[in-house]
Amino acid sequence: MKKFINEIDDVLIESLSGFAAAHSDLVSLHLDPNFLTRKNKAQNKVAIISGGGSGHEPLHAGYIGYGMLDAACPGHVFTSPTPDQMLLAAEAVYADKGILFIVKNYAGDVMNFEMAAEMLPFENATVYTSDDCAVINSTYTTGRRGVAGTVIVEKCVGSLAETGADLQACKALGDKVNSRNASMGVALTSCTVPAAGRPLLTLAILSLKWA
Amino acid sequence: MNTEFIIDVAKAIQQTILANENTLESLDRAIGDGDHYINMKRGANAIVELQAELAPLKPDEALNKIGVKLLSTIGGASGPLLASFFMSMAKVLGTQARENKALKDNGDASLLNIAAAFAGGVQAIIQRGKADIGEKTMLDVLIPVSNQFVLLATQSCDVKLICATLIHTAEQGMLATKDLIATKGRAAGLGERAIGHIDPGAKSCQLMIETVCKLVLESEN
Repeated sequence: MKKFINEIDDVLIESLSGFAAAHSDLVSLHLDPNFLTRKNKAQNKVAIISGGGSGHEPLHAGYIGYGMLDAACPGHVFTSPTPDQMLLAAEAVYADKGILFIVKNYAGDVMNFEMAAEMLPFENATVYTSDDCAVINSTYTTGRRGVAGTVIVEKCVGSLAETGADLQACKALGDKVNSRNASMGVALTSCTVPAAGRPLLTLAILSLKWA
Repeated sequence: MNTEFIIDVAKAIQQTILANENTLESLDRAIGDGDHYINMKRGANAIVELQAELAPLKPDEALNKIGVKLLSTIGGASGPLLASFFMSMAKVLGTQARENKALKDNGDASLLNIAAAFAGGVQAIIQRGKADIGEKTMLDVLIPVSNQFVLLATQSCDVKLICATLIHTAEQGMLATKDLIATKGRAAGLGERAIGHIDPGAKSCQLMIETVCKLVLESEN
C-alpha cells in the first residue's frame, strides 16, 4: 500500500491533530496522554468512553458527539490504548452519572480497560463487544472479537444515555445489543502497519482472507 | 541487587530487543498481529530514557516506576502484563525489605528475595492474563523459570549455577510453545494453525531472561 508519511513516529499524533483540526467544531483533542472528547461537555448523563488501536478509523474518535460517545482513547496503530488515557478521559467527561466503557474483546484492550476501571475513582461499568462471528467461541477463551458491530452498540447505548438513563440501564442495553450483533470481516489485501513497514500478510491476487 | 544493576539490565534488554527485531517481527507476523517488536522496543526505550529518574530510587521503587511507565507506554496485552509483573515484584521486594526478611548482611536484596519477587511478578501476570502454563504465551517461559528460580534459591545454590539453569529453562519453555495450540493471546483465534510457530511473547521473555542472567554471569566472572 502506498501512502504519504512524514515520520513514522509522528503518524498517530499527526492524524489525530488533523482530525481534530478538521472537526474543531465537534471535538477537542488532548495529547500525552492522547484522548478526544466532545467540544461541549455533556451534563448529567452517563459518560460513554470507547477506544482501541488506531488504524480502524473512523473508530472511535469519529463517533464522538451527541447521541454517541463522550470520549475516545486511540492507541498506537493496532495496539490498545493504555489506562492513563482512559483515566484522564474519564475525568474530563464525567457528568455525575458514572462512566460506561465500551471495549472490543481483544486481550490487550480488555486488560488495559480493566486496569483503568480498577483505578477509576468513579462508578463505572464496561460493555465488552464480541460480534465477530468468524471466530469460534469455544475453548478459546478470548473468544469472539469486537469488530464493526461495536458501532451499533455505541449508537444504541449513546442514544439511551442522552435520555438520562442510569449506568445499569446503559450497560444492560449494551450487553443486549451485543448479544444480537454479528459481523464478518473480509480482507481483500493486506494492510501495512507504518512502524513495521511491510505488509502483515500476503494474499494471492485472487485470494481474500475471512475474518 | 541495586538500582544501578536494574538500570544496566534495562540497557542490556534494550540492546537485546533491538538486535532481535527480525526474529520477533517474523514470529508475530506468523501468529500475532505484527506489533510485538514495536511495542517491546517502545517500552525498552522508555525505560532507558527514565534512567536519571530511576537512579536515586531504591530497587523496589525503581521497579514500581518501571511498571507504571510500561503501563502507559506499551499498550496491547504486553503493557498491562509486564507492568503487573514489575509492580508486583516491587511490592514483594518492598515488603521483604521492610520486614527485614532474608536480606543480605548489607541490607541488599538476597537471591531468595529476588526469587520471591520474581515469583510474585509471575503470579500477577497469571491473574491479569487469566492464563496458565501450556496456553502458548509468555507464561510457558515465566512459570518454569519462576519455579526453578525459587527452588534453586531455597537450596542456596551458587548464583552462576542458577543463572545457567534459568537460561536453559527459559529456552526449553520458549521452544515448547512451538507445538502448542494457543488458547490465550492473539494466536488463540488460529486454533491448530498456530502449531509449529513459537509464541512471540514467550520468545521475548526468554530473550530478556537470558540477557539478565548473562549480565549476572559476566559480573560474577
